[in-house]
Amino acid sequence: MHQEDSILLANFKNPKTKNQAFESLLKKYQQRIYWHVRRMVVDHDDTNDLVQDIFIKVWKNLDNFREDAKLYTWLYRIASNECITFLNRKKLKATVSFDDVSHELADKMVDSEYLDGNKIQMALQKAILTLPDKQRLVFNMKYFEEMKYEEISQIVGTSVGALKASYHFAVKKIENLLKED
Amino acid sequence: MQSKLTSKEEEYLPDFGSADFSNPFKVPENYFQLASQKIMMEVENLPLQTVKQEFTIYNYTKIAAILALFIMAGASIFLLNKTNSFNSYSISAISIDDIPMEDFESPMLEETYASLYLTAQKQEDILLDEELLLLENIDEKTLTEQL
Repeated sequence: MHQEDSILLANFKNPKTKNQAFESLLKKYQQRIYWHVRRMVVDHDDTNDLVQDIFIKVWKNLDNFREDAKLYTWLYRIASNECITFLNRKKLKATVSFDDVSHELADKMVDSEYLDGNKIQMALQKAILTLPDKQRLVFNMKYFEEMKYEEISQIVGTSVGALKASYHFAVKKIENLLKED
Repeated sequence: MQSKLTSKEEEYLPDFGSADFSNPFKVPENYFQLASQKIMMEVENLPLQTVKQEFTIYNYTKIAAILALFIMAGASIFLLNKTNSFNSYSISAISIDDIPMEDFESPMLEETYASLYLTAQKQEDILLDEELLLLENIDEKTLTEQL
């Protein structure tokens, strides 16, 4: 049974229960954040490093969380920003085009020992990897996590209308790619 | 792994046929438990000093920036005053001896001085005229009395 976010936050602000509250937060959100990041960066080791960095950031900044938004949208926002920064850095570092990075991610997916996909799953994942990073982020949150557009809007800072359009185009593109396969 | 296409929301979710699209990604055994332990160790061992240091460095930077602004503002005011004092000899203070020779090279001062000279000359001329007028109007009787 997970603690309510408000209780978690109150406990985090108390020095005596701070660690315990953070442990509860980890238990509650760690897996969701892990899969969110994993779908973006594909590689397990990269995901592991990023998730660790994300939760260290959360630890450092949770005191400043103003509770204007839900805690999990705030966590997803940090995680999404970390993913985009990581992918941008990867592109800059490798001085390769976006297509090359998406191919690299697809290759990682095929070679990974932590991947257990059948042919159709692999085709879907590869098709998703052809989307631009932000569109992929939106697609994953909508399709896999079934988030509402309003929630995604708070996470990525884009209007609901633009998100609907982006998702629609992403779906069409993936459908076409799957049909071609 | 999260289920998908389970809830029928009013929002459109694509249905790519009856294919199984469950997550193909896997994680090592006991991964989440071990990872959360590692994260807890990391945050518990985060040196308080680091946070304090970051805070102090941030504050020093802020203070230095504010000081620099003050110094710049002070310097600007000083320079402005200096420039103004050069240009603002009051008319009453002007005397040929008060003005340094090099200041005569300033076209503005030259002009001011020339205008003062002309005013003075004009006043002198008026006085002279008045004296002449008085002399012209004085009659011989009065002149004898005065003498």
